[in-house]
This record gives sequence, C-alpha cells and structure tokens, in this order.
Amino acid sequence: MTTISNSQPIATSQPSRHKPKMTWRSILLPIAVVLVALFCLAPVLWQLQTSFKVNQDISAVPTVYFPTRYTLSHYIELFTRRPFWRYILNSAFVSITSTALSLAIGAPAAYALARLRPRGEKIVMAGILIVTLFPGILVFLGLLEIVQVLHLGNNYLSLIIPYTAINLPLTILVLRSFFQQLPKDLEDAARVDGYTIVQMLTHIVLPMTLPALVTTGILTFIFAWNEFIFALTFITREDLKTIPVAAAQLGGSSAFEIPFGPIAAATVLGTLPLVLLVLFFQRKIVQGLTAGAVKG
Amino acid sequence: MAPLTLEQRDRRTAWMLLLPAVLLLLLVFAYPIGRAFWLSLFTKNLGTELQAVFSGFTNYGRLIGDGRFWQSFWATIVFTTSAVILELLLGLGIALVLNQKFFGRDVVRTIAILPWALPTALIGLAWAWIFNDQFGVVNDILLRLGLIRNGINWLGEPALAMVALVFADVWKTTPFISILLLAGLQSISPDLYEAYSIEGASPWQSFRRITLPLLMPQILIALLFRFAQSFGIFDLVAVMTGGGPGGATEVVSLYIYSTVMRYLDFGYGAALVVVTFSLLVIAVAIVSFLLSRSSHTKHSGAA
Amino acid sequence: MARLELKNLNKTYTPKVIPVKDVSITVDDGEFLTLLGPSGCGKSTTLRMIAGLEQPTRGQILIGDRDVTYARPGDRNIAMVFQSYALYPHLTVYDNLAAGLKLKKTSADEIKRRIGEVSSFLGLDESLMGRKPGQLSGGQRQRVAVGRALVRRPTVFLLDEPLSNLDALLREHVRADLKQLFATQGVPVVYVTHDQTEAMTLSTKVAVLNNGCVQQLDAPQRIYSNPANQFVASFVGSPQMNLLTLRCQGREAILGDHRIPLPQQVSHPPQRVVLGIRPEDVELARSQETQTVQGQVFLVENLGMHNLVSVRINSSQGEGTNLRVLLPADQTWGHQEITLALPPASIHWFDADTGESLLRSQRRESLVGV
Repeated sequence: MTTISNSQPIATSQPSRHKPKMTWRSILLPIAVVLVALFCLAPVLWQLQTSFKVNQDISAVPTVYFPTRYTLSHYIELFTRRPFWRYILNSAFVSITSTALSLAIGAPAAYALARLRPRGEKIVMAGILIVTLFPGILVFLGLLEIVQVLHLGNNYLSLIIPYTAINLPLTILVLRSFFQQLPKDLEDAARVDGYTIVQMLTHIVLPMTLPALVTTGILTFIFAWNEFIFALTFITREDLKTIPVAAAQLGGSSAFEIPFGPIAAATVLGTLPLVLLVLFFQRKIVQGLTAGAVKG
Repeated sequence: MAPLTLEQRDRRTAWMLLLPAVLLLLLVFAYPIGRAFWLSLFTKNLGTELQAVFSGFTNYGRLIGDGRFWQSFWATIVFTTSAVILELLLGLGIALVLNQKFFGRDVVRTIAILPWALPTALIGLAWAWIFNDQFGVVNDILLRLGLIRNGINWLGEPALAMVALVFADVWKTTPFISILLLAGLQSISPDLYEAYSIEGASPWQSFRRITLPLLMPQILIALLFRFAQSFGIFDLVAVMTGGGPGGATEVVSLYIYSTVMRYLDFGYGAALVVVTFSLLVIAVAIVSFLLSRSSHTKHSGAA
Repeated sequence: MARLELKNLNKTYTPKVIPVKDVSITVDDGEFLTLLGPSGCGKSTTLRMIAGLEQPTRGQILIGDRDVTYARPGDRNIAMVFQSYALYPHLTVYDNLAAGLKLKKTSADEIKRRIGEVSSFLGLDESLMGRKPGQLSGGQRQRVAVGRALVRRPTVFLLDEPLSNLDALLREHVRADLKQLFATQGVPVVYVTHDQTEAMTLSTKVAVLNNGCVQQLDAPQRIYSNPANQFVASFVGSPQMNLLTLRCQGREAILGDHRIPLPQQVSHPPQRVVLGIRPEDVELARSQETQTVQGQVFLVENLGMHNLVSVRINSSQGEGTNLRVLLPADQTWGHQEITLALPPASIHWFDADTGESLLRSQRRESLVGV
C-alpha cells in the first residue's frame, strides 16, 4: 500500500469587498481628477489665450474670457521688433550641447560607479548626492569671477559648462541605476570575447541602454532650457540671450509700458518645445525621475 | 614585481572614466564654494576700487548686524516653509488620487508633469499677469464672485505678494512632488492594506499605520530636495516681484545677487554665500538624520 | 598541445567567505572535465577564474604552459557558453557569432567561412542569421551561444550550466548533441553543472566539489562505484545511497539485530562507521544468503519501472534504522516482514567522523590528476 497523505484543503474565506463606498468614490474621484488637471493647465492655457487677444481685450476690465477677435500681432512683433528666432536658436544650441556633453561625460562615470569598483567610490557618490542640493546662487559668485577673468562673458561656453556640471549628478544617478539593472552575463561574455572596458561601453552597454540615455537627455534638456540665473548674468548681448531671460526682459523694469501680449506670446513659444517633449515622453520622464530619486 | 592584476587594471580604467566628471564637478561646485569661503575674509567692493583687501571676519560682523539680510532670511524661511508644507500636503493628496486606477490616468500624469517642466521664469511671468491688480484673472474672479469690492494689489502688498509667490511655487512643484510620492505609493504592496482591512481597519487607520510610515522615506527625500531648492529660489521671485514691494519678498538669493551685481560688493557677497551654504548644510544634515532613522523602521517593520 | 592546469587555486573574498579553497586539476586535449557540486561549492567561481572573469587570490592557471593567471579574458583564447547564453540583444545572430572574431581583426572572408562551417555543423539555418536573439526560441539561442564559442577556435572551452534553462525534453537532446560535438573538437572542455546525469553522461573526468575543495577527481564510472567520501557517495546516484551510521564492535558493524563484518582491507576499524549501499544494490535475500537483514516495510514509492521500498530494520534495542531498496515493480508490497541481502562487494564503508572512505585509503589506485 502506498501511504498517501490525506487532507482536505481548508476553505479560505475572503471577506467580500465592501461596495458601499463605490458610489461616493465614483463621483468624487472624477471631480478630483478634473480639478487636478485644470489646476495644472490653468496658467498655461491662460497665457495661450492672452497671446492671441487684441490689446484692448487684454487690458479690458472686467476680464474678457471669450474674445470675439483674435490677432497674431503679438507673435509677429516678437519676431520683427525683437530677434526672437535668435533666442530660440540660442536656447536650443545651449540646451542640446550641454545635454550631449552631460551624457558623454556622465555615462562613463555612471558605468564606472555601477560596475567597476573604483577606490573612493563612496566619497564620490556622497559628493554627487550632496551637490544635487546646491542652489545655483551658491556657485554663482565663484563662477562669475571665472567668467570675468577668462572673458567668457557673452560666450555660449559660460552657460554650457555650468549646465553640463549641474546636470551631471542627475545624469550619473539615473544612468547608474539603469546600468546596475543590466544582466551581468552580457558584460562577462563581452570580456571573454575580448572587448576592453571602453569598447564594451560603446559597443555593448550603451546601445542597450538607449532608452535610459533618451530619458536622461530629456531631463537635462529641460533643465538647461529653463535655467535662468546664469543665463541672466553671463549673457547680456541681446542676440545671444536664451528664451527665459529674453522673455522676462521683454517687460523691462518700467511698470507702465508692459507688453502683456508679447510676453504671453513669448511664454507660449518658450514653453512649446517642452510641452511637446512632455507629451511624447511622459512615461520616460517619470521613469527617469523616480529612478534617480529612489536611488538617492 | 607581480604584473598588475585585472582588478587593479579595472580600477585604473574606472578612474579614467570617472575623471572628467569629477573634475567638472569640482570646478563648478567645489571651487566656487571654497572661493566664497576665502573671499569672505576680504573686502572687495567699490570702496576698495574692486581690489581685494584682507579684512578678516569684518564681513561676518557686518552680516550679523545687517537688518536687510535677516529680513531676507526671514522672508526665505516664510516662503520655504509655507511652500514646502503646502506642496507636501497637496502632493500627497494628489498622489493618493492618482493612485487609483481610472480612465485617462496617463493623460492626467502627463498634465501633472507640465508645471514642473516649464521654465520657472516664464511661469513667473504668467502668474504675475494672473495676479495683476488691474487686469489679472484672480481679481476678476473675486470681483465677479462679489468677494471683494476693489481689485487687490497682490504684488503691491508685502503679505499678499508673498502669498502670490507661494501660490505660484506650489503650482509649479506640487505635481512633481505628487509624481515622486506616487512612485512610493505604488511600491507599497496592496497585500498590506488587505491584511489590515481584514483586521477591521478603517481607511484612515490604514493611511496612518501603513501608508505614512512606509512612505516616510520618500516624503523625507522630497522634503530634503524641496527645502534645498526653495531656500535658493531665484527665478520665480526675480520675475514676479523683483524682491518687492519694498524688499518684502526679497529672499536670500536675491539679496546676494543684488549685493554682487548691483552693489558690486564681492567680499560681503561671499560672506553671505558662506552663511547661506552653512545653514543649508545644517538643515540637510538634520533631515538626512531623520531619513536614516525612518528607513530603519521601514526595513524592520514591513513584511 | 594545449593542456589546462589549475594549481592550488584559491579565491578569498573575506576571511569568512572563501568560495574556492584549494583546487588543483589538469585537463588534457580531448578531455571533458565536469565540475560537479551543489550550489555554493565553488564550481562557478573556479570556472570564472579559468575564464579570467575573477582573479584567484592564490594559485596559478596555465593554458598550454602559458601562465594566464593575470591575463585578460580576451587574451586567453578561451570561449565560454553562459547559462543565460548572454547573446548581445541588439546584434543579429551573424554579428553575435562574429563579434569575437572581429575584435581579433579576422578578415571578413575568414569570418564568413567559419560562421558557415559552424552553423551547418549546429544546424543553424541561413534564415536565422539576420534575426536578433529576441526572435529566437530557447533552443536556437542555446545553439547560437555554442556557435559563438566554436567559431573562435579556442584553446579551451568553458561551459557554465548551459542546459539548465532548457526544458527537460530538450535537455536530453542537447546533451547528446553536445557530447558528439565536443568529441570532435579535440581541445580541453570544462563544464560546470549541479546535475549529476549531465556529469556522468558527458564527461571523461569528473571533479566533485564541495565547500571549495575537490572531493574526488575521477572518471565518472569510478565516482559512482568508488566514491572517495560520504559526500560524493550521497551526491552521485539516484535514488540517493543509503548511509547508515553504525557502532562498531571489534571488526563488526552493528545494524539493528544484525552484525556486518568489515572487509579484510580495513586494518584499523574505527569506533563508528558509515555503511553505504545504493538502493539498487540491495537485494531480496535468497535462501543461501548468509549476510541478511530483516525489517518491516513502511513505505512504497512507485517509480514506474521500480518500486522504492523503505524498510525499518529490526532492532531489539529500539534503534530506528531505515534502508531503502529498489525492487522490480512486478511485486507489490504491504506492511510486511522482508529479508534483504547486502552483498559485501556493494557495501561502501566510511569513517563516521571524517567521512573518508575506509577502503580507498588502503587502495590508492586510480587517483587521476596532480
């Protein structure tokens, strides 16, 4: 006789899910969601509308919410009275260059910290984390001196170098956590095949982490595009300004002749590229942010 | 001498990969801070014809008695505290909302990132327009609702200007905080909630006993970052109020900026930087300490 | 030609973590060595040291008289097949196969020729060449991984549990294929596995490892028939060998109510011995048998062709000793008395304290290797 162990499975009783809160939730939730969405979009939408209003409607009291007439004059003014297309070019150039540099310098560093174990690794990591917390104003003074001494005022470099540096910590943290998740076997196989570490990085690891590079690139681009204090201080020539600075200075310091229309138009144009970026890459952006933050 | 082992060669390569990054970081971060410490011991302003003259701790002495500094410090504290607290509370609320599954969740997440992604300076312009005393939307709505009789001069009244600033900052950063907290919320296993509710816990108790403690590390990290960032806030204030009215919203970074750029008082500006830096370091140390303590509880308690 | 020598390899991470304590093995051309052992025994670490992915703390590795202990993996002219195959996901099959050759600056023609040879050898169709690993089946990927190693014409082949990711049926096929394949290559092969069937069927030599040390280095058959110690005896052979710890009185071991004499060769019988006998070697007693034991059947497990019968040996002292015996399935068993014979030639004797075989220490015959 074969001995069999006999036991009836004990019926596990699951408490039935309470349903009464369902109706309460199904009403409040959509309302809350809509509120949140409106909350986030409001100022942007308002500027959007303002940018197309004629001046009379802009300065109308009480506020006109549903204008009957529209105009493109503010946008035209931006490009005729001011070299707005140059601002766009400047912002784009500085942002793209510093992003590329940030990735080029940050990726190898992130790899070294993820896989190889350099001496002083802990100090470097701690330093990187601490540096993420520095507000720009703290380094602004020292950099100002350097810029003055090296006559880098009104030179793209005066922005590209600080932006690259400021983006490095985030780049390194995000890429490092991506590298750590790669299966180690592939790197082992590459070593057996004869790849040196640098070759392995360029031929094997980086192609596999393309999504991570894109994500990080987007984040650094956003930061560089939005940066204000250095752009304000180091670039004073009109045709070299970046968009945030140029738009802020459209108004001038006088409280009388404030061109609200063109300012709104500048805001829309200045935020458009980013809005598009966010629309297309939302998921990656969130991934990148949480990867960097969680590991920190 | 034995040939270099592979491990040793790897370490050397590792440092070669790291070097450019480390050098750049040292240049852009370590050098300016160090320089500020050094320069703060000198007087270098229009009075000295922009030559550096050693003056020991004079600058610090002046700082202690500098009313404008302490006022800016106070303004910064008020701004930072209100903004960060509001952002955390609202952010947590929004995160809890977004944590439910609902139709169009991705769309809402996309929208939620927008405020953070847009240039602070441009957003500041937008909010200045919204709070404009003559043509602004806020006043218009309040007037139409009959809550006020005359337009409020938001940016012209010290306390109200601060309110407007905090409001704008909250708008800009809350969604970002909520995304961070959302990631944290989603890492809490639903099993825990189910187990707790079987024992008869109400949603509020679940929240207090499970959500909050397990989310504490994320909350503290968010707190840390936001605190550091708000402390150095520049863009928003410069664009919306310029520090006005009458210096009421002049935060520390603005004061440092004008000390250096407008008054060309470099030595003193350096001292201001040093003090701000030190205060920031202390605050960060405190929060980090709390953070490490709370992550201990997380690891010992969670199943 | 190219012989692989491991001399006193040791890998120490921390004073408490020493995965490889002392391993010395030689593998000649045409030999197929399997490193066999449970998880954590040090077999993978040893393989990785041969590959150059880890550095030994002490010891030497020689490939064909060349000291490669500190050489880069790519400079050792070895090829490795990984458990997960480790195919480059972003490269096509062709590029995967060609990768190592390209690095050695082999001409494009030569690369094409070799890949052609290897793919027909392994049955890799032309149509697969342009695909990426993600588009292949598990079996196909495995073959590409093996192909990648073959194409390099290495001096030593290393394989790290290459069959464990395959399902059981496929595993048998691939095992047979691998055996035939490496028989034609003529270079040393080192194979790591925890599966004794693979070890027994594929290898010319097996090194059983436990705790960072080689327990026995021998041909597969001798590992099975002459285990050097208790660990090897219990690790190899399925169902597991019966190991009974018994007291000794004089030259006899006490098994329940029975006494079993120790063989002549054991000159100094210890206080306690371990009697080892495989379930398949225990027989039903026939009338003439003198060395028998009696007991009660308490469990029968049907294994298809056989029954695995568990017997409790009679003991008036109340000592509970169980013996498992593999009997043909044509007879059924209930809770009944049974008499079993333990053929002396099939009994393995081990020292209860050291685990070492009492017989081998007298009879040092076939110990192969350094």
